[in-house]
Amino acid sequence: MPFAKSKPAEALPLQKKGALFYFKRDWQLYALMLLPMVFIIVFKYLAYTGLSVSFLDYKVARGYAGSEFVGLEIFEKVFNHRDFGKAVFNTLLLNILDLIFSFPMPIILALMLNEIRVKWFKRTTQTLLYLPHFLSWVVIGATAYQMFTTGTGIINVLITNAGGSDIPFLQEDGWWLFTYVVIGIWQTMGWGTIIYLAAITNVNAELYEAAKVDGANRWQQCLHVTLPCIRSTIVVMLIMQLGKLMGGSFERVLALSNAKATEFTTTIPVLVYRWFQSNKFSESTALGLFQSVIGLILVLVSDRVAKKLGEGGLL
Amino acid sequence: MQNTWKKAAALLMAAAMSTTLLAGCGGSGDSTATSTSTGTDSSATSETSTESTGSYTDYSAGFPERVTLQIPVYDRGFENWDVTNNYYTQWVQQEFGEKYNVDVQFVAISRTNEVTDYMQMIAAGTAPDIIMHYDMPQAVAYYDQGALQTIDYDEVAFYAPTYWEKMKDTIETYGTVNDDKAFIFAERDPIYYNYVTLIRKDWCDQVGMAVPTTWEELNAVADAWKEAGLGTINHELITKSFTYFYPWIEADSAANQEELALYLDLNVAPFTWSATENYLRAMNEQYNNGELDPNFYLTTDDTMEKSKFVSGECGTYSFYISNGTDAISSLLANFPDAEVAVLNSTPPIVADGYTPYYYEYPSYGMIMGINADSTDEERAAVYMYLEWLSQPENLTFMQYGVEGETYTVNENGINALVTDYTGESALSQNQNKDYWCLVVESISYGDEAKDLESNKLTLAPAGYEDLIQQSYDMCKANESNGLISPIFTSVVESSSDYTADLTSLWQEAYVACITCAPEEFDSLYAEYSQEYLDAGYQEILDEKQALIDAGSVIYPQ
Repeated sequence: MPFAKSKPAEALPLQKKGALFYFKRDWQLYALMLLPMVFIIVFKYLAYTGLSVSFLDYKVARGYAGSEFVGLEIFEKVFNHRDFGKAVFNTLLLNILDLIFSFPMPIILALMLNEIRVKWFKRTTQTLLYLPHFLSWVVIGATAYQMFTTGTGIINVLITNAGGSDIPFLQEDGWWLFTYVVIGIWQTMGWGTIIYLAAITNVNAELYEAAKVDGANRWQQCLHVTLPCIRSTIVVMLIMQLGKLMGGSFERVLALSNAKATEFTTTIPVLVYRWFQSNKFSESTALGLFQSVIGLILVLVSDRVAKKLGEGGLL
Repeated sequence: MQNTWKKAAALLMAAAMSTTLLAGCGGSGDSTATSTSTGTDSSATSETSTESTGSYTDYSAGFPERVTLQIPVYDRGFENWDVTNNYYTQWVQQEFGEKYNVDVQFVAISRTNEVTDYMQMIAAGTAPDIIMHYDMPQAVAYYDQGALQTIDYDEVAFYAPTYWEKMKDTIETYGTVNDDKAFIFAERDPIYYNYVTLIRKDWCDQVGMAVPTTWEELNAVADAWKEAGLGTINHELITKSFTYFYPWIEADSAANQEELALYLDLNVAPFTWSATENYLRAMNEQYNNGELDPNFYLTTDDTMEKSKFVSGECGTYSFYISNGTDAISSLLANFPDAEVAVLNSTPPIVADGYTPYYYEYPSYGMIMGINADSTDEERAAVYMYLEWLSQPENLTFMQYGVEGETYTVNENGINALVTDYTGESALSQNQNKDYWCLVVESISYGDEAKDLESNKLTLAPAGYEDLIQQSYDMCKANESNGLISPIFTSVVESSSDYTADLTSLWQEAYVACITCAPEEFDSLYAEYSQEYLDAGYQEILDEKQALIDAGSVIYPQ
């Protein structure tokens, strides 16, 4: 019986055992782990070989081996492309706006939800707030056009009927940016509260009691107890968000873009998609790689900064 | 004991799943290897086949070993229609496959996503034996990717004599790129009157005007509609197949074949050409006068354009008409008194001083190349299949199905489809076209009057045959105004490099030029023209000019 063999070993913890011993003892667990490991290696790591396309003049029918190696020529081409600068700027702009406006929203909302005392009302509100998260951007995009189009959109019909004039929510560059951010907030804020609400439930109730004793009102409790207690969660979320600064939602831009308001819709993911669609595989891979590398650097830097500031960090 | 069994079972399962996973990877690895090796294979084949002595194995009694023939077929997402396995694919297997010991497999290619589909299959080494496309620039792009093998005309003639006899002039004229024999073609005897722009005749009557016949009259009608609180002129955002500028080409440009070679291109909009400027200026005026749909740039597909027409928001609608269209029936459901007339057909409506030029198809339909991966037997099977499909009795069966079930023959010898037939031999919604498009592009009796009569049955919803007659008359009156695009015999490399970026810029630029205030038009157009040139168009023009100077262009006779 294998279990009978392993028991005496546990009884002698001081004796150091080799890897083989543990493997023999727990081989069932290793066997179970094999499948996920293979999955990760094949689909997460072997896929990296595809990045070699960005160093090749890749022709699909010739494959990796048959395509000519061109070094960094593709990257040079991508960096010199006339839309490259615009794409980087727009990607940063859209994501920084999101960071400024969308990131704090779930925190504020979670704090507010935390203060609601009527249970059924809190639950209903939460559910309603989660719902937009489950809608795809295609649906949201189509609905947004139904609502915000000039002339025929519901909102604009209401505005004009009330005596105002059409607002080109999605049809002029400035307004488009505004609508893009607002719709983003609406879609993500509810779902984002989950993690903060979970963090808030972990706050030690004694701290509130102590605060109360010290005469803190609800606002002060919120400010001086709840917020500091969920600070590490906020920092982790912020680091993760910073990692996405060069990425951003491709579907969101695509679903909300149109041929009129085009100033801010050329982003890196959109450019990758455009090139991929026209079979410029090398260029789109190179741009995607560039984006990922910057994303990685951003995560590492912000993690370092967080640790320097005395926070737990992510890594 | 029980524990041991459990453990054994767990291990077995884990092992089995890992093996499956690894086997999957192994498969893809293999295919990469195959596709890589074919790069060199194809060039080897090309050398041998050009020097071919003309001795080919005769397979008319069937292949000694079973050959798998993969034929592409467009999947247009028709309801209740399995493109790869249906009555007709089974019939092909039974009549052609069993006779020649060929396993005919149909490979679905999504019509709306065909290039991506093909590219993925080419990369994975799973592309069908025929690689096809309707437009030359994309067909050339496949060639440029190294996906095609060189064609030996003698071999085509040997295995497909009927097909070759019919198509050899076209193939010899247009089938060569960079001195490689790359393409064979389907025959095209085009009809143009299946494309129509409908106009609300009842609205014209309401404002006391006739159905317009010129650009100016159309604008006047739209003005009157606006006054009467009716709809606007419909317009679908132009994102591909650039033919918008044909009615705005000036006569001296149309007569200049070099200029046409430089600018006519379905894939790249000639933004800087005078024809585009004329077009944009006219559209700008239409937009600013409130005659054009103010949100036209949000109309991004045919369905949206149709819904604007059907809902009474717009008074015109351009589309390929067929007896299955619901545009008219839906319109009548919303507006029982609505009446429609044909505003224009393929020859467009033009402004004063312009000629209704239109995009005239070249003499070929589908452009086909042979997959670089295909073996000698598979290639022979492709030609034999084309030969078999070219036989009138087989073609008629694929086009019309079973007499008495899917169609009847009327007293004039015209095949009339039984549109409400739903049995197992029912045809696809487009009359099985995606199967027979490999040899012919449209159904023809070889007699125009007969074709018209037949097309009235297949194109017009019942009771609306007159629309087809109106459209036919318009095409007939302007028959001589077609412009065939000159064909480059070498790859225009910069074209594939910049097409995506230019298409994206085109949308931005053309919408901006139409929607700007009239006084801003000139400066905005100049600004965008420069940007368009900088974005790669100048390079395309330079490369084309060099090819023109080098004589690498075939001008239409």
